[in-house]
Amino acid sequence: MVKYIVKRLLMCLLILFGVSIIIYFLVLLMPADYVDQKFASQIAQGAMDKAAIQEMKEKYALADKSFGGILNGYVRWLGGVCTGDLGRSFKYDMPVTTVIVENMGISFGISFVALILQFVIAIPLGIKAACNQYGKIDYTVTVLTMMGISLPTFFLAALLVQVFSINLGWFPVNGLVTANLPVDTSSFERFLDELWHLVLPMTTLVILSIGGLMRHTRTNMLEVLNADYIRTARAKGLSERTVVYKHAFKNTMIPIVTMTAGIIPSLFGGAMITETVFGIPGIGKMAYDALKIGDVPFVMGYNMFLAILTVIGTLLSDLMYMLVDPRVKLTK
Amino acid sequence: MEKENEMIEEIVNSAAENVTETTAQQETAMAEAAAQTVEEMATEAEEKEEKEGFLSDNIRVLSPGRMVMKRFFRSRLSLVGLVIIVGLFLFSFVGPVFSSWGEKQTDTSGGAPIQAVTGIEFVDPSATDRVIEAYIVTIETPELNRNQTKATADHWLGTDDMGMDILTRLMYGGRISLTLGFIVVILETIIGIILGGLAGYFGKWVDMIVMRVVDILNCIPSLPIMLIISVVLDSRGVDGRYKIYYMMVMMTVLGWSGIARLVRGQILMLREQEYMVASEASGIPVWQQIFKHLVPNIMPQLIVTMTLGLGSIILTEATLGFLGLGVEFPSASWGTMIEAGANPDVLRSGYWNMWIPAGICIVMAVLGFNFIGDGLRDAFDPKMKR
Repeated sequence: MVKYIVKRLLMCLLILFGVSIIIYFLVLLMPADYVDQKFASQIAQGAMDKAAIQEMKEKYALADKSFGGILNGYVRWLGGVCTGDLGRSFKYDMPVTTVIVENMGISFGISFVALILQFVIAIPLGIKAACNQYGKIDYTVTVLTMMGISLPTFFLAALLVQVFSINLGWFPVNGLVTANLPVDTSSFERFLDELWHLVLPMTTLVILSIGGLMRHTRTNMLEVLNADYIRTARAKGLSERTVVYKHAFKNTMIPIVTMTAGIIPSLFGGAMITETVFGIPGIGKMAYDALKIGDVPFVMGYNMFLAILTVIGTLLSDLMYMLVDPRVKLTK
Repeated sequence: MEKENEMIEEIVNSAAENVTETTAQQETAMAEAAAQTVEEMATEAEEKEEKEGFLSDNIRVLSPGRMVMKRFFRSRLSLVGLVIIVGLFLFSFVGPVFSSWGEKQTDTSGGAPIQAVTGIEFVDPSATDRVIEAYIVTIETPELNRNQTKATADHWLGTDDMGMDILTRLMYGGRISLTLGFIVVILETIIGIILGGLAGYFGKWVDMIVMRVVDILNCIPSLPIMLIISVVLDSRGVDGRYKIYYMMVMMTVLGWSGIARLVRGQILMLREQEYMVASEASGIPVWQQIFKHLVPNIMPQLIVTMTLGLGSIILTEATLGFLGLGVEFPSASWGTMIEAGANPDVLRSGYWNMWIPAGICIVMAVLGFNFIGDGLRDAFDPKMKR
């Protein structure tokens, strides 16, 4: 087990190394004077001195594109990453690590609540659909959830804003706090205000992701319901309720638990489009704003951050799979 | 959470790989067909004794392909999906023939004649006290665009903020969105089959290298990467009209990993089958073994994945359009048209006809492909008896 984990961790490092090379190469494709243009105003104001920019250019091999220059820059960048220094973002004028750490809380909050809601809604629906395969409930649930999968994030978000914010005026159009909140509002009221702003974004996330989970539950449930031991349980004369919720459901949980373990890290990465449309200052929106103008250190840092989250997610879900399912044995 | 959906799929895929379930589907399907035929033959044979007819007249042989077709059309949802997709294709490719407007044509009939009267004073230089009053009258009928109208008899879905007919633009937009989707999926599949096939067949270091690349590509966040690519293209001064094609090429380059993984997994399993031993024993060249004996057996899964992939690529194209990175303005695509919905002013103005129809088209297309994909999956699955 320990040997397996060590082996997997080494593999993860290799993967991250590959990811970093690809992203570095992409950034490298930018023309050399790109950074100068971006910083023209900051240099004029004296906010940044030329030496710092020169150093940055070397670090991202933007100035010197010979093989030596690239290698030198990459090694310097990688050295920084290993010590936890992802560079300084142009746009936010802060270390990239600080930007990510400070803003990922709100993103995680939204995604996490959405994830829980999604489970609460999708799993019972999936079970219901599986128990009534090809019945009316099955068709209705399937069609509705398929529509959820097919909706583009931004379209759903814009629709919700149009209907609930503009036409009905129930929820704010965007942002996280009401602009003219009185100074003496208690922190609890502030929290409620934030929550009120977050209703629509969360709804968007839930609607979009219910479909996947529901179909997953349904497929697994169907597979389990056809198993022999379920027939045995029925033959024993157990009530359908016990059969479904006690015998079948437990085995359906295996893939769901595995999947969840894989999802949790990615919740920190932010929901880029949802956050952008609703103007929530989470990591997703921050990243979008920075990526759009080509903030080189942020681009590198954020993508590495996401890659790390994905790697951790895959690792967690594989380990979870081994823990939860006794049938799985390590091959090597 | 956009990422999350991808993650879910990935995990589902890998889980499916781990539990080496499905046996060679095609084979089982054929076996089933054969079994069915035998059964039919048996019953028919009894009747034959009575009727004294030819055996071949009385039995109906169903090829695996026909059986899949039959199962596919039995499901109502897949039929709905097929109708939607065919409808959208007709709408996009034949529709413009019946439209009286062009893709980039502006309706300029909105201007009323304007009379402008300008008064000037003319001072005679020879006699300073003499002031002549004069007027210049200009009458012109300016070409005013009919911007942002709601549905009228001329424009069934109204016009956008540049006075272009929305319905017509939807048709042209569909051409781009659907075509791009197909091209990307086909290219991804070709790359995926070749690399996945090599990895699965040769194993060892080839497998090692290809699968590590697949792992790496899986970890690259797609949307942020597309944003960077767009910035890089901008910074290199690439013409906005061609940007979308570069982006799609990059999407293909980054997107083949899923298919490669599927192909490899299946080939690893099929390679152990007896017919592959036979083909090796008969000295068939390697490429023929892979592409003539192995790949056709993966086709069912490939077709399903491709169909579902079409939907997701149309979504990606639309997302890029929505973020302003897609097809550049005067040309239309569904993604570019829906961009109007990103503007709160448009939302407040109540001209929902500018963005909602495009959104509906996208949803319909994705939904259609998903229905077809699901239907095909069920149809190809030999375990499904119904």
